[in-house]
Amino acid sequence: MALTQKHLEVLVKSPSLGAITYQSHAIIHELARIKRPKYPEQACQIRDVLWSLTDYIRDELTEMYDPGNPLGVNRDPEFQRTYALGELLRKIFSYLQHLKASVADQSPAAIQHALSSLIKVHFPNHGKKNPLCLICPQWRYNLEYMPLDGHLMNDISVGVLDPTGKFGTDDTLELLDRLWRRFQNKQQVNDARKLPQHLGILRFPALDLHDTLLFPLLAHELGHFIDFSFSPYLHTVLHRDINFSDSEIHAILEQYGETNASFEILEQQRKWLADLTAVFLRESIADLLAVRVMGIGFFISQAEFLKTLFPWPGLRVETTGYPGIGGRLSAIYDHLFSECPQDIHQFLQQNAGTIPVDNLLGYFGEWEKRLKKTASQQPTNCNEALAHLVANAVSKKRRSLLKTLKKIVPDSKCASLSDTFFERIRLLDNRRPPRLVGDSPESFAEIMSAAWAYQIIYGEEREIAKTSKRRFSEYTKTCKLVLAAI
Amino acid sequence: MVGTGTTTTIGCGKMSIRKEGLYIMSLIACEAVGPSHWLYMSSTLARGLQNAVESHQIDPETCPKGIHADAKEFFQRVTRFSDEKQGIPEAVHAYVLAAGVIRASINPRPKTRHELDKRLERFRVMVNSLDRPRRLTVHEIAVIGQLIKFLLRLKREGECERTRSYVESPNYLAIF
Repeated sequence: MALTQKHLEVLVKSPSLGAITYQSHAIIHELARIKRPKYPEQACQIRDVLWSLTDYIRDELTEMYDPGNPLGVNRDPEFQRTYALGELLRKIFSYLQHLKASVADQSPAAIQHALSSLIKVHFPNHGKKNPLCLICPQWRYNLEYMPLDGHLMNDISVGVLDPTGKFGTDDTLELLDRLWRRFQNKQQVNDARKLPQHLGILRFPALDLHDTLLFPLLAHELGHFIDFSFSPYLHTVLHRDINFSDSEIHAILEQYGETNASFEILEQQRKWLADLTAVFLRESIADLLAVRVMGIGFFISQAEFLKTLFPWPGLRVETTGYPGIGGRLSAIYDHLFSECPQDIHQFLQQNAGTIPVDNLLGYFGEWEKRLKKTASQQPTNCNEALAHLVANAVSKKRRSLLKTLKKIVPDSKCASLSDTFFERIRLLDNRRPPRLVGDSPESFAEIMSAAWAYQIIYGEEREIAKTSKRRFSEYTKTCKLVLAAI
Repeated sequence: MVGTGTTTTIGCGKMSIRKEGLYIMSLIACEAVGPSHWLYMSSTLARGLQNAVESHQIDPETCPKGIHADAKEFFQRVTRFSDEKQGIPEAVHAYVLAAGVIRASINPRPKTRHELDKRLERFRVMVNSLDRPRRLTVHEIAVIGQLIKFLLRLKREGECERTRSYVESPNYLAIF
């Protein structure tokens, strides 16, 4: 049948509801391809959450189509709901890319296993909360934690998904839960599961996927995952008491020649400082939680990782809100050696037996000297001076920050070294995996600490003694042995 | 201007973003949402309120339940900052967005923070009462008139942000 003039006119003028509905079908088709055993269990569970949302959007779009109306769209006069649902679908599709990247041949199972071990041991109320964190590689040289649950909460607006209030809730999480149950009913799932409430995506640099000695860096991302599992977020709670007065901001602006700043400018500066404070607080939380969880393995991997990337010492707070490398490593080192329960120096000196720990003690000694000698760079412009305000404000809250973190990872669960630490070093020295009978997820921290201790005590020397090609094989072998123990 | 950080100047195409690369161990921020998040709410509510002004009354069609939930959420975020002076990003971002939208849409522009907060509070009270069908007073019609201007400007900002999100990509050079 030929289209009428009116239909053709509308076809040209209106956004295509059909195209957006097609996109929802395409996403469901892609989601259905995320299956065990090719993808990890975590990917399949996150798939179901995205599927429940996409399925509902598809049904809504289908319902919005009115063949009797030449516009084809019901009750959406300015097409704003059509646009908004389309945008939500495209966001879901972007999240789907992370699930696809977790495919077994791109993301070794061991790295997901290592992360899951950490979650099992340290995530508060793990059994009740069913936290899900998926690890996937990325091309950019960067570790990133993406709070997928938070993103979904922000992407979803009750008004867009349920403008007439048919689900009878104003709450985004509750709405998501209703969509989840609706989906399970539709799928006729026998063992109905609860909606997983904490969803995270952790992106690890693909370049380092096989560098097992960097796995302790995952603990920093676990720190973010824990922070974001609280409601409100942990860093948000600590942030509440931190505010910057007009006079403080004025003083800095004047110092750099900006006199008579209007209240609009002060507002903008305050907004910027709020962002900086949020970043600085959450990075500090993640670092301190990580060092409590992983002990010396985290300090060494973080130090080795950062020093190859950033000039020394950096600002106390960079104008991105991230702590500069000097201040960052200082905070981790001080916490590890002064505030964590175990006296590491004493332990190493008294229990090493035949293992020559001098290299390791010397390594820590050199770090201590460097960190003590280093004062962070002084601010040289207005932005840097404003960022400095953040460091001062947060340092005043350090005590309450530590108190909070000690509740999450109490001293009794802090990583500590035991006699088996030296046994693991010996195994690596004999080119065997540092695995012992009776190892559990808790052993992960000690395995990684032993791996770094081996590397500093023996590994470096062995590598230096070899030709450049064999040097690489030597390190690869160490990584493989450690991987076999996880 | 000295010391501007991640600032967004209200108005299409005047956005200045600090771009400095210290990405390692990063976390993608998610507390704050931009104006496009409120686009459907602002457009639907503005239309409903225009009808209310014409008929001099608020009825159940003026503000459907889901839209009301979103509108309350928006003003709750905004006033959380002005009431409690909390520096948390979601409140500060919403407040700065609302402040910019008021300045760009309503005459005379508020000159002090106190004036600004008073306007926002008036809007919040009006929005909260939209689930109560009634005939409108002259005073309410005046407030709704300003609220409509505010919402239409918020809608415009949302449209700009949505357009920007398609053309500004961190990793790729997008050419249309």
